[in-house]
This record gives sequence, structure tokens and C-alpha cells, in this order.
Amino acid sequence: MDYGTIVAIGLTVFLIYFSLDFDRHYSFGFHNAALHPAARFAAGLALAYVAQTHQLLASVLLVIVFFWIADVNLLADHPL
Amino acid sequence: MNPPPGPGSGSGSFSGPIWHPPIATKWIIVIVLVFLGAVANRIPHQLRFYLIQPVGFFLIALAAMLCYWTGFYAGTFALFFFLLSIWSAEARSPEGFLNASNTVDWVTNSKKWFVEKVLKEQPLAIQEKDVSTSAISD
Repeated sequence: MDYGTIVAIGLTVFLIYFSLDFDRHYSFGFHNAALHPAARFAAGLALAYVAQTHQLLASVLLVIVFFWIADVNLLADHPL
Repeated sequence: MNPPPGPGSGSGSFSGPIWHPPIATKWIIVIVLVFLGAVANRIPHQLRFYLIQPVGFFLIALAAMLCYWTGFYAGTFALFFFLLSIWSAEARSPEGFLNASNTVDWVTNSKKWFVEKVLKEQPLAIQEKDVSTSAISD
């Protein structure tokens, strides 16, 4: 298992842990951007572009993009 | 990103299609999939309903796996993006008057409230007639 795999798995676990508080939402700007089709289209194209070169990074990006669209706050003020 | 011309294209003999798209066909499919995922909330509810059923979910996941096995990773992630966008749009689809027959109280008499008279409203149904409360906890 190379370093990229370890970093990707750790980042995914980190993101999922900070996404457990489903009651908290993104800020107003992030939420409005997620509702805009152009922003989602750009995010999807970036995901596809990254996926062709680095699948692990694309996996983490898929998690981030999906939670962003689903309005799950990844950066909630979650008590550790 | 044009596909390379065929072996007989430079010798005057015709072979292959007449017109090549400016980018490869697989990237056009990726762009269409991402676009459909971006406008997932505009896709009709009936179509989204069939896509997120177990059979539709399985078929899309199978197509994504086939793309992965063939080395076309962008197609795999575009399909996942499309599937998750469809699922997200379906999960946040508006409720209430569409499928809330148990909670909607239809207005059957013509007697109006004061605020309805002032604002000249023509209510058809009362959606939020029940309020759920919970005890205060610290």
C-alpha cells in the first residue's frame, strides 16, 4: 500500500467522521453554489478529469462533491 | 483530441466514418452524464424513481464497473456522480401536496379567515395543520 492510498483512506475517514452531524449545513454561499447547476457541472467535470489520472484522489473528491451537493457539512464545528 | 485517421485515409480510398467529432465519443458521454447529474433536479420524477430502484442502481453500478475494467476511469466516476446526484435529488424532492394525503386538510367550505380575505388568497388545502413539539432539554 503506497502513501497515496494511505492518505486517501485517512482523508476519507476524516471526512466521514466530520460529516456525522447531519443537522448542520454549509454556509449560505456554499449551499447556494451547490444548488447552481453550473457549479455542480464544473465539479463533476473536475472529478472526471482527476479520475483519469488518479483514482484514489478522485474517490475522495467524489465523497466531498457528493456531500457538498447533499448539503452535508464536512466542516461542521464537531467536538472532538 | 481527434481520433487518429484510419490507415487508408491518406491514400485517397475511403474508409471509416466521414466526420469525426472534435473530441472522442467517450468524453462526450462523460460530459452528457455529468451534465445530467448537474441538472438532476430537472429530470422528471418518474424517471428518477426508476433509476434509484435496486435494478436501476445495479445496472448503473454494473456499467461503472465495466468502465473501470476497461480502463476508462472517468466514465466510472461520471456514472457514480450521475447516480449520486439522482439519488440526492430524489431524496430532497418536495413533499407535502405531492404525496402527503394523510397530512393535508383540504379546504371544502367557502368561509375564509381574515388574513385570507385581506390578502385575497384562494387556499386549496392546509398543509401544516399539525405541529410536532418536544420537551426542552439542556
